[in-house]
Parts: sequence; structure tokens; C-alpha cells
Amino acid sequence: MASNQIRSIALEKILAAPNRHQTLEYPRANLGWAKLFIIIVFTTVLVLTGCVVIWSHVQITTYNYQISELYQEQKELDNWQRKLRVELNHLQSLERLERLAVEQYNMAPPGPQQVINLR
Amino acid sequence: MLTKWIRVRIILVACGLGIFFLAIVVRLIDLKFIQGPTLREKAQREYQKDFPILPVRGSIFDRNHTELAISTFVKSLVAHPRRLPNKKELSRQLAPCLGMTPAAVQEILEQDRPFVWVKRHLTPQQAAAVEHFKAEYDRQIQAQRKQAQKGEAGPLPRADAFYLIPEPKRYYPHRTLAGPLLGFCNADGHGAEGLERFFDDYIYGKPQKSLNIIDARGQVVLSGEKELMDETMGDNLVLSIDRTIQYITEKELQNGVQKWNATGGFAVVMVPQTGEILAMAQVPAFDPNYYYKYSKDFYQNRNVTVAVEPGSTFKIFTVAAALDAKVVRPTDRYHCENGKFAIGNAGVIHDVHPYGSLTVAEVIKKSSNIGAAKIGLKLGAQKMDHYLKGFGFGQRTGITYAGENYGLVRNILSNRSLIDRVTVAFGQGITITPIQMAMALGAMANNGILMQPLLVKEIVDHQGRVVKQFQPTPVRQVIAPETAQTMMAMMKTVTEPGGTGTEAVPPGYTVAGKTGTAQKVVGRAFSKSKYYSLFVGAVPAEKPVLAIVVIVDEPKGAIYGGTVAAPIFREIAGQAMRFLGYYPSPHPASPTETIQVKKNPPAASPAAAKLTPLPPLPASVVPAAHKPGPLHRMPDLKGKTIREAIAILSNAGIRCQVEGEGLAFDQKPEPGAPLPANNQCLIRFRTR
Repeated sequence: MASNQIRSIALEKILAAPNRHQTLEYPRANLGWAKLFIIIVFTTVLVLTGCVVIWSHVQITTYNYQISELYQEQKELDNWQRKLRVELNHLQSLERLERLAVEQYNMAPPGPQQVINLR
Repeated sequence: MLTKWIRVRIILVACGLGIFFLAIVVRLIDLKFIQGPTLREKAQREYQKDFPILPVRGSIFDRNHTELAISTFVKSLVAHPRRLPNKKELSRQLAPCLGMTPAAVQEILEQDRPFVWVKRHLTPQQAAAVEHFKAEYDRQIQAQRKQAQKGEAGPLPRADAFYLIPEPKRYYPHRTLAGPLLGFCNADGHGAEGLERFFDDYIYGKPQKSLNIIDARGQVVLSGEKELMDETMGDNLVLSIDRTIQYITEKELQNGVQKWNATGGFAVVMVPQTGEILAMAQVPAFDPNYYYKYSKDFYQNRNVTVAVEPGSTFKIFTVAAALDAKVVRPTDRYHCENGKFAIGNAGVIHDVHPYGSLTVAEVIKKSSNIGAAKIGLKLGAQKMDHYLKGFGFGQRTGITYAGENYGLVRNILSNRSLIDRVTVAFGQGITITPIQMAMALGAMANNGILMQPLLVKEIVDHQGRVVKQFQPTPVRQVIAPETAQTMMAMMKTVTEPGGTGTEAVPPGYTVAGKTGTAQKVVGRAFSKSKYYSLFVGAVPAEKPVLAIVVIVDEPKGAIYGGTVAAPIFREIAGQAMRFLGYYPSPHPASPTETIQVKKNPPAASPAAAKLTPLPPLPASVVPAAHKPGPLHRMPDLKGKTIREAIAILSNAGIRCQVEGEGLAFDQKPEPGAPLPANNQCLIRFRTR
């Protein structure tokens, strides 16, 4: 109904116009505040959803970078820990400890009679 | 007219828009379905890249979980010589970083090959120096490229012409400790010798490729490496070796070899009841960290790969066989011909000292060749052969080690030479490996039960889950427990005053042992100047905790086992016993006065005695020695019989459904998985 009305008004204006070069004034469609509000809300939701999706993707990518970096760091620390274990085992090797005890601290293995079992 | 024109315009616009949208749809279909797969592949090539993941080799632990071998990653410098424009200048700059001469570096870089190793396994300092140099070098390249863009063209070096890559490197932090036993890994990280080689499939891990997502700068955005960790990590070996006892054994053997200016030596320390090897030492040894500095002769574990004549130590097995076959009694007397015994025209046997009449026990104590020969003759070839096989001579021991020597045991039954048959009784004309000797000695100290040598206790994965377990395995009951106890008592007299092995007793302990001296075979004859000195024994004599074999190769100044090898035994036994918590007693057991004669009378004659198969293992032995602990995870039942599988599972209260017959080949849940909540499992068996 409304569209027929608009079309008839437009035709009347065209027919009533003195010539084809005359500027026509078209009636503005009255959308109403409610409709405008819905459109704004809808657009806002759409934009916000898009932002959330983009933000989540950015976050995922950032976290992936961080995970990769941390994993590399973990691997390096793991390797460092292995190197420290090599060092620890070397420092605890019986050959070294005995050499230190004998040469540096003038220690000697106890004789059988020097060992007292306290059990 | 106007209305029509407007309509036409509307239609035209609609058509235009329609065509536009149609074109978009067509393009979308083209991109999605026609060019889609190609484009997807192209895109994936851009952002996905395969990254190789190097396997991490598992560690080797001793029985107390002390690491004997560890792998880490170190840097190696590689280069693509064809991408390098100025090799001479680069060699001059790189050489100080690598600790090489410029000429040596240049020689490597001048090779007409696409890829070369400039230097492998750099030290941390060298790697840092190269990294620093490389950063500087890359900056210079950037500057040159900028100049080239301005028009000053020339041969441009490439940043990827040389770089550092990680490579695995094996470390043995205890240096020579158990070196020949552990073996070593080659430059590629694969086991090349010893246990490293034998268990390479388990401990190497598996190289993998991880599909990573990378960004435009080549940085990894998403890595799938972590998911592959379980596969890339190699399993760990847990040995039965105790590093302290191994150290004591190596040290004392080395001291003994040095003292007697000997060519080398061997020693094995084991637990007779379980067959666990606590130490396996040899001199000369090598440091597996620097294996390339030694000749290949050093690499082999000669306790397993070299067979030697056992000499008089073999008399204990001859006498044990004769006693067990009830051919002789400990108190039977044999005349030892005052040191010279002619066996018809076959040859003459000599004793070191002339003896008259000796009991069987005294034959062991005094180590009379003639007495042992007469006992061997009385035992007969058939029974001798039977017991030699029973003790495991001339056969594989079943040790988890490659290249085991079986030793040389002549076929006594078919050998026509009487002298050859007789000399075996006192250890001539037969060769055995130190590990065979240790196992046979262990049988004597373990109530006659021969155990399989146990060198590796278990294989565990990187999370500590048991992958494979090696249980103590009894092989057979070689001699009766009473015979074994009688033998231990006889062997104890060897280390008591008047015996040949008095030097073998650590203060506060008792030892049951036997000395031995064997001529080395040089070419095809026995040498008159080269000997093996041996001492084999168990400590304490009454309830043996350790069985120890000591062999010294070509000692100078003295040759007898009681003089050369027995003191080494004493030092190893005394220190090892104290370490294990068996402290010396101020009043060790009194000397053995007489060997008790068992009530069972001996058979009338060897010929009349019927040869019976070696008695089966008493049922009481297995569960007592190897009672399994409570199960927390599914055991590996593969290779087990139905009876064995049910016995293992019933201990944990699990009911199993059995399919097929024969040996287990499949099970659900898998080995290592948690025990099923419903306490039920499925095991499939099949015949081979």
C-alpha cells in the first residue's frame, strides 16, 4: 500500500512538472526510530562480532607464537639441563673424588680395623 | 515512454548487477573448486614447512640410576662451498673461531661439493665464537646488498652459505668407567659398539618431521613438534652394573696389572643368586668420549668376546661333576704319583709340587693336576661332556651383548686322543670366556642352579614407564644343592692355610675359591713364558653374596694365580662387600676341618652309573627368587605361555580371556597400560 502511494505521488509530480529539467522533490521514506535503532544495533552487533572474531584470531596467533617460542625455550633449557647433568655426573665421578681426596686432602682408605660398624 | 525508460534502466542496472554477481560467483567457483586444490597446495607451500626433529638418544643408567651415558645437542658448522665467493678470506676469519688452521679450513671449503662439514661437535666456546662471527658476516652481506641495489654489482655472498646446525653428542661423564662395556656412538649418534650398539633400536629414538606453520619472516607460528615427543625420545637402559663396584673392580685390576707389569686383565663380579653382573672390567680399557684415539682392539668387551684357558680353576667343575655323578667322594684318596704321571704312551702329566696320596678335597686345595686327571678319568668322557654342557661351557650364556664367544670345548666323546681328554679335567685344551666362568662359578655358589647373566635390568621410556624388563632367569640345576655345598666347603680350604689361594681372603671374610695358571697358546703351541693367572671365588664362603672372576694376562715376575690374581680378588671382594653393607667379622668362621661325606653312597663304578639328564629346577627356586611385586601396569606378556601369563596376572587379581594356544603374541590392554578397571584382559596365543 505504502509503495503504491509513493509511486502515485512520484508520477503526479512528474506529470505536473513544467518540464523534464525541473528538479523534483521526492518524499523521504519515514523509517521510524524503532527501525533505525534495530539497524544500528544490528550493525553494532555485526561489527562487534567481527571484532571479536578478528581479536580471537589475533590472540590465537599471538598465543601460537608464544607457544612456539616457549617450546623452543623449553628445548633449549632441556638441553642445558642435560649438559648440567653431564657436568654433575663428571664432578661426582668416583675417580675424580678419590683423586681429590688423596691428592688434595691427604685422605686414605680406612684399614679393616679402623671401620667400626655402629649397627 | 518515461516509465518504460525507467523500467529499462532498472532492468539494465539489475542485469549489470546480476552479471557482476554472477561473475563473482563464477570466480568463486573457479577459485574454490577448479583452481582450489592447486592454490591450496601453493598456499600450504608458503606457510607450511616440514621441520626435521632430531631424536634424543636415551641415557644409560647403572642399577642405582646414576647416568653412565647422556646425550645432548651441540653445534656443528656446515657450509655450501659453491655459494661462497671468497673462500680464502673466509677461511682466515673462521679458523681462529674453530681452533683450526686457515689452511685446513680452506681445504674443506675448496671442495667442489654442494655440502661439507666444516667442523662437527663444536665446543660451546667455539659455537659462540662462530655465532658472533656469523652475525657480523650477515650484517656485512646486508650492506653489500644495499650497495648492489645502487648499481655497484659484484659477486654477492649468500647468508645461507655457512651456518650452525644442532647435532646430538654422546657424553660418558665417568670417562673410562665401563667404557668397553658401554661401547660408544658414532658421529651420527648411532650406537657403534657395546651396549650402545646392541640396544640401538631402543635408545636411538626415531627421527621425525614436524609440519609447522610459518609466517612471512620464516618464524614458526604453530609447531606440531610436541606431539611427536614420545616418538623422538629414545628409551633409557638400566643396567645391573653398580658404578661403585665397577670402579673398585677397574681400579684394583689396573693396580694388579701394573704391579705385575702384565699385558692386561679381566674381572667379572656377579650375584650368584640372580645372575646380575655388578661389574665387568678389563685392562686396557678406553674412554668412549675419545674412542677415535684408540685402535679397534680396545673396543671389544673381552670378558664376553675372548676365550682363555681356565687352567686349574677348571678342576672345581671336574670334581663337582664327579661328586654329583657319585663317582667319587670328598674323602676318596688318589695317589698323585709324586708329581709325574705317564698316561701310557699318550703323554706325561706333571704337578707343580710332588704329592703322594691326596683326598679329593686335597686335590682341590693343593691343585694337583694328576689328582684332577685321575678323577676325570674315573668320571668318564660321557659324564664329563654332560656336565660341561650343564655348566654352559661351549655355549652362549644368553647375555644381552653382541659378539659373544662360545669358547672352545672339544668333543670329548669323539676325541681319540687320551691326553686331550684327560687334560680337560685340569683346564687344558679347553677355552672359556670370563663370563662363562663367572656363570658356572655362580651355579656352584647358588646351590647348583645356573643363572643366565643379567646385564640389563630394564628398558624404560623417557617418562619412566617400563618398556621391557629382564628378570633373573634360572637356566638349569647343574649339580645337586648338596654337591654345590660340598664344593664350596672344598673351595674354602683353598684359601685356608696350606691352600694355594690364601692371598685371596680379605680380612674379616671367608672365601671359597680356586687358583689357576694357564699357559697361553701362541701360534699352535703352548708358550713357556706367557701365562694367564686366574682366581675365581665366592665370598663369603658360607653364604655367597658375590662370585668374582679375576684373570691377569701375561704377568711378569710371578705367574701363579695365588700370587698374582688372588690379591686382586681380595681387594675387590673386601671393598665390594663393605660397600654392599656386609661388614668384616672380627671372628670369621673357623677353618674347615673335614669335608662332610654325604649319606648317599657313590655309585659302584662309573661305567655302571646310568647317565641321567640334568635334574629339573626345583619348583621352590623360581618363586622364591623372583617373586613379582604388585602390578601397577599391564605387564608385557608376549612370548609367555598360557600358564605363565595366567600366573602373572592372577597375582594382580586380573582375570584373563585366552585365545589360541602356544605363546602370547598380543594382549589388551597393551603392555604398560594401566590395569583394566574391570580386572579383565584378553591375551591371544599362537604356535610358532
